[in-house]
Amino acid sequence: MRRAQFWQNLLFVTILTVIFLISMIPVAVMFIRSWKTLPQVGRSQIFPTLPLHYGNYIMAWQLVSKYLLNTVLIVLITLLGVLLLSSVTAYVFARYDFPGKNFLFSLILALMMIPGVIAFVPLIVLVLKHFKLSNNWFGLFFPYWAGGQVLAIYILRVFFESLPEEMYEAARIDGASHFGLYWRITIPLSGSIISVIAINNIIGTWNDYVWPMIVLAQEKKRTIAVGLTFLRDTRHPEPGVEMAAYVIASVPMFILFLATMRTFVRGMQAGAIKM
Amino acid sequence: MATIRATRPLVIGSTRTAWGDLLKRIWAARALYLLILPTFLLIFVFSYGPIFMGIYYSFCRYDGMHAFWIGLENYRRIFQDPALVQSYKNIAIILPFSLTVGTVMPLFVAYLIYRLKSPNLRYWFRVLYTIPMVVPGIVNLLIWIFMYTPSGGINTILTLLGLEKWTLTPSGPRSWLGDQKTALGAVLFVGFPWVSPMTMLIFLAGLEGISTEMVEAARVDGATGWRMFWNIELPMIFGQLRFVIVTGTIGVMQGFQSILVLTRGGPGYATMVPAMRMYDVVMPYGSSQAAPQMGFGSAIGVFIFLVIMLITILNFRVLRGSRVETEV
Repeated sequence: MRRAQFWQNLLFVTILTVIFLISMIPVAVMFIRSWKTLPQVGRSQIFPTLPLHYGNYIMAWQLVSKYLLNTVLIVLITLLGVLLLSSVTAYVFARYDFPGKNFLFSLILALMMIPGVIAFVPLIVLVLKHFKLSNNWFGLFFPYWAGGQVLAIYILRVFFESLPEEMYEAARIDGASHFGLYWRITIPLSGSIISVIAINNIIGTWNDYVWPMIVLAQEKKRTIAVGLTFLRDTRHPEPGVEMAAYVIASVPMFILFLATMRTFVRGMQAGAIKM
Repeated sequence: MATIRATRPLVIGSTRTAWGDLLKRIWAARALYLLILPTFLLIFVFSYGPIFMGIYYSFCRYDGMHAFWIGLENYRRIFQDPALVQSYKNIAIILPFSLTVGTVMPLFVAYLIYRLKSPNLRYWFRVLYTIPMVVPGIVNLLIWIFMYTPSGGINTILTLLGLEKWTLTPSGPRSWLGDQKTALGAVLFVGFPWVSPMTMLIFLAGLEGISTEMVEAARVDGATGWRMFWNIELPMIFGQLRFVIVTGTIGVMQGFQSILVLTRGGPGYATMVPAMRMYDVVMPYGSSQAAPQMGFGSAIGVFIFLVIMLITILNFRVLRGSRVETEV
């Protein structure tokens, strides 16, 4: 019995390792090619060649650093707006009573169940034509804020409601204002859930491609996702530069992942509720 | 703000409220409405607004300048547009395929991890399989484009495996995405072996949530291996399974980012999907200086939306039915 279990374990580990290695082939190819010069690529498309050639990274950095900076700024401004909007709204819905509360909340909830495809074309008209936000980062922020807060409000409301009323009671007796209840009680107690939402939002903005491409036609305003596709279309003479740029674009998420592993995973899963 | 009652929520005594009383309560809560106003402004303008605009535009001819009411003309075109007609055939292949591999492969990996005896190994495999999440989706697609080029990774690997004849066409080495015959297959193959970290984690969480007493009881009754999986473990993660299938369907039906980056629906219409066509008619591309067709695009959007709703309802019907049978 023991023996059988050992062999079963070994079999499972082997299968898992093989599947993992196969799924990493494209990433490995990206990494290997990023260290190659053109002649080295000629010698072998996907296998490592010596000497390693870091010059690709210098060239790639010059090409994509402005896109990276753009993306970091866009991510941060989007995140700030979403956190502020959603935490205030979720707090009001969680801790107060007012006429029309359930109806208003159902308006937010309904948006989680409506597939975005129906709003895609008219949103282009609205943002580019009516608001004239072509080549303007606000053409990203408004839809990101509007869309990003929905899931966040839903998650935060559930969490804020679960906070013990005694804590609020005590603070009120001590003379805390409504703002104080929000800022000094609610927010500090919700650090973990807020960071999950933050990660979820950061990943979403960082990876978005279609919408920034529509809004930001101008080269110098592009995000990294858009910049990379244009970099590919211009066909840099050194193929390794392209791959080095891809690696550079993956590094910030990798750092975020290493720094916040558990929260990162929860943040990814939080997004799964959304349709 | 002093008049606002800060209470535990959900106890709204509105049944006995007279109109005057209601107005008084609304006035008393004015600060609260003000606080949630930004949220609702944004939602009304940028979420609900486009939905209603889209429904209206779908009955119009609209080039981005002037909109003319043309009734159901756009919806008639939905069934005649050659690109769309081809896209329905393609999505009829893509959807079942993506759902199957997108469910089975993550479930398979999650199950193997779940059955590992050592907690250490379980932890490390979970982390390993999470890592691909950090590669931005667009980077992943761009690498796959390289893999499919004539001198790219797939052809190199096939040659190494002794399958060089697969890589050859009369006009030189095969460009997998550029060849009518292989483009759709190549699009489906992207992401092989299709272990989406997120789906895998959802299944793993479900499996680890199964109570050990239940598994032990089944084991005492003599259930092992396949029977254990089929009769105990799979029914217990039915909720996760349904969730993955329903959200997966919605994602495939309305998604077009990967097609846009990989092939733009080509060559010809070999890899066209409905949402890609929607994008194409409103964002004309390259040499075709066609006017954007916002009305037609909106109609395609509404149409996809309706199809998604229909499939989702069917999904819930079918999957609920089987749940009743399996529920303990």
